[in-house]
Amino acid sequence: MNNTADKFILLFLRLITYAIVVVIGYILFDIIKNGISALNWQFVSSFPRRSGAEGGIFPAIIGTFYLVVGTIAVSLPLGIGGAIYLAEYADQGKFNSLVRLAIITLAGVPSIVFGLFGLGVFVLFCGFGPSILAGSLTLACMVLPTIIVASEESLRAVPKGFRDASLALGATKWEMIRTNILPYSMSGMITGSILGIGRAAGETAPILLTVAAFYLPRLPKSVFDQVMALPYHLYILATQHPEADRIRHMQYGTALILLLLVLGLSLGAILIRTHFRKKFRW
Amino acid sequence: MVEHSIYPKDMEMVITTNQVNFYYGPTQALFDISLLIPAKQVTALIGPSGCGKSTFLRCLNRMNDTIPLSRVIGNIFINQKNIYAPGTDVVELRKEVGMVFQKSNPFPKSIFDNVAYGPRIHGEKNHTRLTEIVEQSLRQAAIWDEVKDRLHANAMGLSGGQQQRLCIARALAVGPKSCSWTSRLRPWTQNQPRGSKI
Ligand SMILES: Nc1ncnc2c1ncn2[C@@H]1O[C@H](COP(=O)(O)OP(=O)(O)O)[C@@H](O)[C@H]1O
Ligand SMILES: [Mg+2]
Repeated sequence: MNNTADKFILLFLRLITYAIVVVIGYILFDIIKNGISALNWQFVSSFPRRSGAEGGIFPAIIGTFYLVVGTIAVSLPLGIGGAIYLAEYADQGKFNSLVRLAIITLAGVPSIVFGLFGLGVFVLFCGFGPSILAGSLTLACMVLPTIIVASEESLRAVPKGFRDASLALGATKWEMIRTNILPYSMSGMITGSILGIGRAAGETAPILLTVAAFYLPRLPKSVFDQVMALPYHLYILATQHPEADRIRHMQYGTALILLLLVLGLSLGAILIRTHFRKKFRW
Repeated sequence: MVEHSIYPKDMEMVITTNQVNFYYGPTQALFDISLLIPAKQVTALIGPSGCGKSTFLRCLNRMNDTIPLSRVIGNIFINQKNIYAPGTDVVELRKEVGMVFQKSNPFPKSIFDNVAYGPRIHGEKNHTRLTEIVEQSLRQAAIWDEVKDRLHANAMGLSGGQQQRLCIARALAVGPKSCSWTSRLRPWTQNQPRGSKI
């Protein structure tokens, strides 16, 4: 390849990158510019009034927080467990290729389908009703493929030398995995998982039918209670509210809080990753 | 069968193999290997690259079991026990038959944790005892003086040669506990002749 073509490709790639940054930057700028005026202590700490036209969004923040915690609690162990099975134990046979294919396909299923699945299985069949439990389980199903794929990749990235050395020292397979694979793949698994869960935290469709309350100015008492949630609250304020045009600042404020929450999750993922990177580098 | 042994008649053998054939899937890598390896001695396997030295050594602690579609045909006796007999405890076998790999592969942990790895997974929790084992093994591998002041530094920071000796120490560290009763068995080091190829 000659030098001019090389330069052209470099310029092209650079432009694409800048374009992405500009678009995201503009969206962020717009949300911050319009949302910052709504942000104050009262907004994040008080209950909504007049169906959300006034007051704060405290119950929605708490609701989304519970949903995220519930989703992590269900999906992380299941997803990582599944990935360990697929990466370390499963043979390369037909059945497991089918399982892998199914997981990848599931990752592309629209979120409303997961919502309907959650409604059918958790809300109705299991009898949990619209509840934090049903919502968390639904969100967990939605992020499981992401977690499994990310975790399996980071397990496979651990060099074979570490595995061979452990086994040759008389470790059982599980001892090898526990002491010499999980510690090194943990950062990749957690990062991939949290990024997936962060995306789920902002989803409306899966919680619409399984947990989210339209307007519920009180806190849940158990996992069988409904909650308000940020993305759904935002959707209501922006499209369903009779005064939607007059309460733009409430909408932007809610969007900003949701963004900050997801940002917080990503930041957590980055911190965990640097922690593990420093501890185990090769 | 080995009938015309080059060794004296009364010499004690620790490993005997009997017409061992090994296959990587459809590819045969070992052909009718029958040999005797005497106890308390250093035995060297010499041959051109790719002739199957590593493959043979991996048969001795059944590390080849981890390779999909691989097959061993024939018998290998270590201390008169057929290690391919059904019901053999592979983990127990690997404690007894140590192995240092051609390509050094220290864990990305501290030097101490590398050497203590084997004893720890085999249940040694006493810190004083672990410290003793680590020092003794590092001394046997002739690397103690170079690393004694930085036992808690990451092993990946060592030079290539030091890493290799660390791996030897790590293999030796497993020995004392289980080799005490299997007696004569020594961990193996595969020495690749450098420079000239035969
Ligand atoms: N995992 C494997 N899968 C398939 N073939 C292999 C594998 N490992 C080694 N071989 C082949 O087996 C032969 C012997 O290899 P090896 O035992 O590593 O030789 P040496 O240690 O004497 O250099 C070589 O032809 C090599 O390509
Ligand atoms: Mg070799």
